Amino acid sequence: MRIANSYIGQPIERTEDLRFLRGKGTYVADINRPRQLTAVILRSSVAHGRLRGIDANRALQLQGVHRILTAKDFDTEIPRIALRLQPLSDLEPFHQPMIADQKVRYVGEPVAVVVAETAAIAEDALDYIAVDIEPLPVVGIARTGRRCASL
Amino acid sequence: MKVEFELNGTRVGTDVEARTTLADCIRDQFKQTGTHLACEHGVCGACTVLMNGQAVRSCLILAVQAQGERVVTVEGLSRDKSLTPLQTAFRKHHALQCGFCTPGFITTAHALLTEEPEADEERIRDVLSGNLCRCTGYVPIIQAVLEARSAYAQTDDQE
Repeated sequence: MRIANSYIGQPIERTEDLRFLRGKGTYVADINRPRQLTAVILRSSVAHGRLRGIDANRALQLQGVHRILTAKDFDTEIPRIALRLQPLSDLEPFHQPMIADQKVRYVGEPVAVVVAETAAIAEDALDYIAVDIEPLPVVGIARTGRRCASL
Repeated sequence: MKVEFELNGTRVGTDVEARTTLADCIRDQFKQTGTHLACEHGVCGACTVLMNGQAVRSCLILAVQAQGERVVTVEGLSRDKSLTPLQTAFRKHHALQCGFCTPGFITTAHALLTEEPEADEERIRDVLSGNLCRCTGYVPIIQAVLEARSAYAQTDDQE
């Protein structure tokens, strides 16, 4: 006996569309619990550099700021971000750290995480964090990249 | 600062900091989280709402600027038990996947078709070019809006 697969060969309406189309989805930013804290990430403005120091003391004094995390707050080696689609062992040396540790390697790399009572307070706190980065040579064009100098 | 406006047909009022955007006010104070924030600087269109019928980016408008105005979000363009013709067309044409950009497309397309129910494909593409979708692509969205036109041509009572 054969049972016809009714899903193949015809358009299927998705059940999740009913909530997404009416603004009733629940994305992470939509979750709102009592005493919930919000994290905001401070990112590198430098493409390549040595991270000499992060002074978060002034930011920590802002009312509503609970915690500021940097690579120094982790006892263990900073975890690397695994590749999902091409998990080749050859690429492991190039995996990025979850938060910049000693060096920054691209503009936008996470340098610190501010945890505060509201996103607005956390974003205010970003401006009070002093980051000292010693700039290093960057790879801006393919020709520089071909020299294979390690960053 | 105190601010009062009409949100999806209901008179609402709250106390906000002067710097609070309309988007944050709608989401945080009034818990209507259908309006989504992505770029937060007017590029992506996800936070689009209607203010007195006009499609505006709620991340670029301060909550206090809505004082006395009529604001409609995707929730206000929705029914409890069924989809509107525009939403039905989006579903039929698979014009959404993750759904994050969808409320911005619905509000923008609604504003367009309310004023111009006969907008042609070029006009629809032009107006929707201010909204970014990162997973579905635009072809199904354009098809959905084209199909929804007939519903707007027939009725004058939407929004």
